[in-house]
Amino acid sequence: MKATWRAARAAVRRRRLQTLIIGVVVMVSTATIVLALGLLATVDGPYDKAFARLQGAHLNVSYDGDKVSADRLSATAHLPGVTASAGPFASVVVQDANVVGLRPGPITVVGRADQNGPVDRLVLAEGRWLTGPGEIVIRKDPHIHCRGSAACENVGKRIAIPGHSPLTIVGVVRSITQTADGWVTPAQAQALNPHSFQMLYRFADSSTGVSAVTADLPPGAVAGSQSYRIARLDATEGAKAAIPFLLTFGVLGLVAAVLIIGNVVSGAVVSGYRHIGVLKALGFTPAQVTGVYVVMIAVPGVIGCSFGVVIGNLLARFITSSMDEALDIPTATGVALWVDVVALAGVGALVAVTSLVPAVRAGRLSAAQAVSAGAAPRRGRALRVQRLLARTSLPRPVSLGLGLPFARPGRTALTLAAVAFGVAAVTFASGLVWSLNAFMAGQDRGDVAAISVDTAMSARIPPGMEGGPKPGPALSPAQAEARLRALPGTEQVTPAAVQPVHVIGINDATDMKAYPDGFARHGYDLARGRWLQNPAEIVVTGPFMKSSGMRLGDTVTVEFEGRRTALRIVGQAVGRDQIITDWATMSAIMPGLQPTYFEMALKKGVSLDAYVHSLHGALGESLAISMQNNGGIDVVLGLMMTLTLGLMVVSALGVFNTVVLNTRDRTRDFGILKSLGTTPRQVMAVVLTSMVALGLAGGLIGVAIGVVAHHVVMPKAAATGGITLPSAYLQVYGPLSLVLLASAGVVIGTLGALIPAGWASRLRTATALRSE
Amino acid sequence: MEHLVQLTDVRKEYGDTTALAGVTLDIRQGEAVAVMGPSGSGKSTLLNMVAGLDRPTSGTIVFQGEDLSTLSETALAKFRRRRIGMVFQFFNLLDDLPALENVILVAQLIGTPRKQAQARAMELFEELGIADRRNAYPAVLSGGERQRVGVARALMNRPSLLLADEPTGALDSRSGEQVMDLLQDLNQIGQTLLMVTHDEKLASRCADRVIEFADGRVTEAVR
Repeated sequence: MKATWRAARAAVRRRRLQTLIIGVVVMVSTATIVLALGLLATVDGPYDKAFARLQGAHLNVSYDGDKVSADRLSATAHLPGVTASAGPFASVVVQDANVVGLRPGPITVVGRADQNGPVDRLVLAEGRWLTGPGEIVIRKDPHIHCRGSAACENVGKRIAIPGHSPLTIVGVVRSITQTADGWVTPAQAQALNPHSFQMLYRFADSSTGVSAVTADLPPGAVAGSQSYRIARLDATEGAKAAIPFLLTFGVLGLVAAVLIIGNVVSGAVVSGYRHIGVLKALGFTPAQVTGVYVVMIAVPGVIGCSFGVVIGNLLARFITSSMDEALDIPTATGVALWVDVVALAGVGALVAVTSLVPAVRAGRLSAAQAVSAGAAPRRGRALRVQRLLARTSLPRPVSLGLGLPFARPGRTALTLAAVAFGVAAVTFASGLVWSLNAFMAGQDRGDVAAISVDTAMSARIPPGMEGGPKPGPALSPAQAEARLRALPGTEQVTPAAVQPVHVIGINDATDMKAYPDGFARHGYDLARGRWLQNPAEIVVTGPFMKSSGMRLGDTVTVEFEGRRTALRIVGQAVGRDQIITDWATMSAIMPGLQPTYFEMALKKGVSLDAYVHSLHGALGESLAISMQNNGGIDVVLGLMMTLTLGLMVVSALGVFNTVVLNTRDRTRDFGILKSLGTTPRQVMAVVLTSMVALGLAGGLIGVAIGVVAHHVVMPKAAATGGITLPSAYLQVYGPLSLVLLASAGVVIGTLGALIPAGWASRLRTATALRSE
Repeated sequence: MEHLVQLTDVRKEYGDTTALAGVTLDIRQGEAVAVMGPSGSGKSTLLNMVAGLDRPTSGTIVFQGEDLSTLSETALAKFRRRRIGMVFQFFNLLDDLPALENVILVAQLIGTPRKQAQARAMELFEELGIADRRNAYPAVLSGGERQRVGVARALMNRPSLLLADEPTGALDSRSGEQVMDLLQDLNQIGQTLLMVTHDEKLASRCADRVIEFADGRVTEAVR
């Protein structure tokens, strides 16, 4: 054992470069694996973790205060299956709160004394918790990006409550289950004349439905209920669409990492055959020889793997915290322990297996065979290829270089695979980024609606809440439009109307939108069907199709304030809106419809922040402004680019290793060539040509794999989110991008070969000729 | 006879080890010189210096009026291509190329068109009696055959000087004899020859002049 250890230590010291390469390859691969696995866990994980920690409400039920008493509701806390409950809290809908940083429309305000409590603990993001009446704490809305500097500072502002004293905003909180939009003290809530009670429940079985707590209550007692699943879906929706892409990407990364580790490790053993022969000649048993080689690889392997886990964790921590912020999940989380364990054990096992196989083979070699492995002439391989290349009119260093990969087909195949997977990953990731960008641009309809303003928030009252006051907008639509057009930086203003309607068969309110200018398309991309041509037609978006179960050609019945109309789905558009129809059709169920919703395109170079600021100046401080929030997707894309970079580094290192091994193998050959009069530059050309050729072949294969993977995965991934991608979003690879992507292989090959090629060219001929 | 190579006080040191300790030597055109001496006496180092494979620590090597120490690595490579032919003890053939391609390669390095190079190589293979082995790979050739391929390669570009480092050292006696005959014939037709050998028979049979070497110096020159 001592001898084995000594021999292994000596081997590690003698092969410093190779040891370093193994260590770095294993480290980068492990970090990539941790990041990929960590991400997969994170996309689905942080919400659940935060939900458990903050005692999120599985069910949030709103009761009609006229139909059921608070005492009766308190009793529901003791029903079977309920593990914790909070409430009943007095609840009131404030119709015209008009708070910057909250979605436009009425807000639900709940009277609650305690920021924590048994269910739905609130996390303070800004300001402080309530200390008395006259104060309100509002919820941070992840969907609203408020960038209007001072205009977005809500703390300290006052909310006018029609018929009551104004409330001062003292804090902004995050609620994991989004149970309300604002909280006041119970006394303050009573002062607002509440008609409803809110009860929050946690169940032993998270899938428990509302009937479990409402079965014994009088009919009509339940005004509404919301499962935590909606909030959960809402919180993770952006990144969830990326999961199938990430899975594919993760698998691609894993395969590339496995191949490269296999290549590097087995190459290290094979290149040491002569050393093995010497060990055996000294009396080492086959088991000891195997042990020497396994230990030799295990040392850098374990060190690399450990560092990789640490680096992967650091990167994942950074990325998941960015993602948590983007998804508005209260607290950041890192990588789960199981990811580290799997990465450590998996990569460790991989290194062990890939070193063990050739090491065992080496252990079985006869000493004479092993000793002669470096010195005896090798049988030429791929003779026909060598002969053909020699006969071409290519410069001889080039044809010699082209022939090199054929001399070691096994190693060449592994290197080719490593380059191909590296390029495939880059191709796939690039296509994914381009397609997602196309999709996001489609959702944003290019620059047509960079910013949207709703000037009639008070008009947007969800079904069932219609009894409250309906104060009109501060400005008439014409005035608002004129002011928007006059704003510096405005390129175009598109007026529209957006109103929540009730679609028969769908519980939640659905937004209906129409433009006053007939059937114009306004930048919408169509995934299927056609655009509006006739009255009583609607175009819907993918999520509506998915949630409603409707299909193209189906007829839906839309109801608004008792008026109903049947509308036919003629197209499916890309976008965030739900139902789009023509102005006349929408006016038919909403007499006196006014364009109170404005979409602005900005002039080139106009800063969003500055524009939002000027918007507040023009239309008032308490203004609801919507900008697209692609934070989750941006983080996912950023992460994918990080992973791609990791894979490219690993691929380049794999190639580097192959060239180092090949250069060592070929030391004598290069010495011969130099003795015959080959210049250093020509020797460099031989080495570089061999790898550039491999890089090009790997690049072409990789591009093909990447493009196919993109075309197969992208539509499937989109479908899981209820999105049908227009085929144009898949045709993202232009001829130039394909050439550039294929040349990524050449870049990998050249980068990997540059340093060893330099060594080869500087070899001392006399020394090289003596090398065996 | 005209001087082909002139070495003046050539020294070569590898760290603390002195391989050549001030060698002064002339080789004339058409001459066959054998350098003999025990292992480690600096014979091969001398050969490497003359071939431009290595540079002296001090002293000058002038080849046909050109001081090799003034040449860059690239210029030295070009010098070797055109003026030097080398025959090695262990042949140093490229294992991945068939015999004929090993020989053609050096002609291609100086820009000889392939057809012309092939014709010249075939001519040499015929003369050396290995024409039927032209498509064989080094691994399947006998030692004597490999050395003849090595000689053909060395002669391919019609070098001014043929250097041979223990050309019979790895051969059986019969193959060794054949190579000796070959070198003798070459010298007789005017090929300048500098060989390093332990083989007294080779030296006495092929060399016009034998130089004894010890501890990196010329100890005796025998005509």
